[in-house]
Amino acid sequence: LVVTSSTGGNVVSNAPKLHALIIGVSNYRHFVDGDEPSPAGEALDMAGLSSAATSAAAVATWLRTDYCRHNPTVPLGLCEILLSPSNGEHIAATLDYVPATLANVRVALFKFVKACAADRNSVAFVYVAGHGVQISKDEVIVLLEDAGAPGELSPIEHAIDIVSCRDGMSHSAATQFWFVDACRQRHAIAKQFEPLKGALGLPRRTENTVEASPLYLAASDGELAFSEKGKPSFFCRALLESLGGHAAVGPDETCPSWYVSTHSLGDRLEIRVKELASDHDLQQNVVVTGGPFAKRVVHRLPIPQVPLRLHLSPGRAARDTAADLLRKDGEPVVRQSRTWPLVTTLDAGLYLLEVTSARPYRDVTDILTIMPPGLDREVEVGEL
Amino acid sequence: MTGNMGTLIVELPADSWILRDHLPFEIRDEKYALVTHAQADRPIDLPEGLYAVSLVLDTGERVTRPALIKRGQRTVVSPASSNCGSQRVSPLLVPADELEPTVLRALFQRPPPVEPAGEPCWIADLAPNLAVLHDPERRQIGVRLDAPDANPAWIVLASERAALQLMLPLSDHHECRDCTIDLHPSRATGQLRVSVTLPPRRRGRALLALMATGKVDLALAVAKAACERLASEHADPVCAVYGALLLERCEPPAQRPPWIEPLMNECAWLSDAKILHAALLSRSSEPDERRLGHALLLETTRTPSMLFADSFSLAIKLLRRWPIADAGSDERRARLSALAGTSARLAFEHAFTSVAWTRVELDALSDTDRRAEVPARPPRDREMLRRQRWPSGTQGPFEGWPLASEVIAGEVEAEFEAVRQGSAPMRAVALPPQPPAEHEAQWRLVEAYEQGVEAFGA
Repeated sequence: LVVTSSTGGNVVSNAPKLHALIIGVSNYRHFVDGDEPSPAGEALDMAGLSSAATSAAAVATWLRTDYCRHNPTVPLGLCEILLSPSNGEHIAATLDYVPATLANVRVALFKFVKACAADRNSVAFVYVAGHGVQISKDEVIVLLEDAGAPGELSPIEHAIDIVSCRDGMSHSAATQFWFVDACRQRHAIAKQFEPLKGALGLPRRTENTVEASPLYLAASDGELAFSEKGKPSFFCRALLESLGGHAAVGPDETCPSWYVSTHSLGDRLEIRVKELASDHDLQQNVVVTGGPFAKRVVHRLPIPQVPLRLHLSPGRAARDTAADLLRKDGEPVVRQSRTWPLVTTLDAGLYLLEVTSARPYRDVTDILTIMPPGLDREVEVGEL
Repeated sequence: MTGNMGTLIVELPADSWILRDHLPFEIRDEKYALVTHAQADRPIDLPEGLYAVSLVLDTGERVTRPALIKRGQRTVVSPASSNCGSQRVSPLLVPADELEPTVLRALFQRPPPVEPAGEPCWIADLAPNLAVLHDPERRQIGVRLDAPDANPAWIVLASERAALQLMLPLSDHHECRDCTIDLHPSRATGQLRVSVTLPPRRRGRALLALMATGKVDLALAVAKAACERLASEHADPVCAVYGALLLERCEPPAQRPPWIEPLMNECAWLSDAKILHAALLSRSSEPDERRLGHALLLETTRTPSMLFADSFSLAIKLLRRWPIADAGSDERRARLSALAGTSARLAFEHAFTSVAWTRVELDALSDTDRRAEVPARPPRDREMLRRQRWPSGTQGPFEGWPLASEVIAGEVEAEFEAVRQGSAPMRAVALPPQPPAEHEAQWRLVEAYEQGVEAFGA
């Protein structure tokens, strides 16, 4: 049965659903710069953020728009959004969310776990952004809005332990995607306790029926995760670009349409986050961990539109040189273009490039592999 | 061939068994839809049109070559790499200044007494079962295993102020007895790269290279295709088990591979096979087989042995969650406690281990085994690093040695004095710290903050 969803896409009504838990914390009210600073909050020695909630909101918006539009066979089910934006962050009014406090996250986590456990064929999607504190190698902990609240029994009582939550869902949805956009530096408080417990988590299950559960971490052990102030984080930008097509692969036995796979997403995230950090002379390395790592479809999408830019060398040949781009049927996609550089946007795929020049320049025939995120190529016509 | 069909021939280098017969490639059409997977070096008939032939070579390099298939014609595609060698570059970086001018010593297992450093020239101290040929001009060391029972081989390159330990993949069992070590100091970067070149007969290296470069899906395909053959011909039992470990982790087989148990028995030194076999037995419906697997797991984790990190991880997983919940839980808990030191020091965050640092020791003393394989990172917290040292009084060959890349200068120098006097074990490594790099990184951070970047953490 196919019905039309509120987002305009067709949805298979009895299809397994993707359930999402999205958390983004920029505003830490008990930190030194928060609205209600506390001794425990100040002891954490951190300041509020300006983009974690923005990043989480961007991911939530993507789920509710692009994801819904292109994934009728795995429609969006439960979508719990918890955001604590800073004063300077603007979250779209259309996005319903509750503050990312421990109490709210606990309720949302309960609903999320219940929804995922109800159907083994469902898909779990978790994205968490905020201040990360690394207590040990085995934990990935993100502080919540009320971290450092007076009366805490543990310094990380108002925090969520993502690894623990993931371990506790090993009997649940067969396919799970976990994204943690947070720093992984050892925090000074880690030295004061051995071990330090108290973060919100789930009891570890003995049974493990999950088929794919990659955990994509924005930073490697000991590293920081970055963002430009007020903008989505590097990891978030890379994630949305990848899901938007930069990590897309063509149809194959896994999916009959173009899609982003668990494997291609990891490959692209690693490359892109490194690039974004490098632009600011910083280092940030995505780590794909967790498992199992069976290849699964994260997102289906139409054929990506890929920007193409062809430069002519030498440039003086431009006046006498024309280019055709052809596909299998011989029908030109671009016919006798004499504008150089040749700039256009095409469906991803293979094209036959035929460049014809007047003497003394030579004709060139080449096969172009035009794939996301784009192709920028020089065409050398030389001189005979 | 009929109608509008043409023929595609994919030519792969013939000097590699894996490449020639088993490296999988895929063919996609002009819309990038998958046409077929192929593995054999044989002609493939295709309708005329544009195609992309894509594969990952045994160097780990992903190569895509377009092909235009014309009616009735044969099109040859040769997706050879620009670098088909077997050279692996250690991720470990040592400041070049520390090794030049230098006296490098190649030491192996039980070294003879070493005289204090003298003239700046190269000296080769030959162990009884290892021949070391050095070429100071080319900064190259050729190492050959001359006697059996030396698996694996370790080599320590030591100077006045620094040393570097490498585990060499030499094995008399597998007729892999020689390799070449090249040192590439760079004045420009102030660092030293070390590369170890293996002879090409290491047949399973394609699998390792695929994993090292993160090509998991293709590595799985190679593992499925090649593991049994690697094992049955004894071509490369280590890689065969590595492939099986990979499959166990990603796509646990419904049927127990028939070659694991014979391999385990024939290559008793290969503890990875024992742990893998224990894992397979743990899923058996026969209580006796599960009990056998349990005993095997306990036996294998009792004594120190070399392991792939994946095996270590699998062993820990089995010790934590054996299917028969009440069987031997105390013994498993005791094993876990004994291995806790090793677990704490390993970075399991990486989905898969890379070739350069696949081997760890199944022993509480195995900390040093990350030495030459862990990417060097400037120490951030001296206090934390101090805590990572081995407790004094620990027995065994690794006593008192710090982790590579996580040491403090004074301690390193003291340790090396001990090495030179022959009173300390050789299977250890130490590196000088890199404070300039640390400061540089911090300055970069400060500058980035000033440009409006923020970090999601401390």
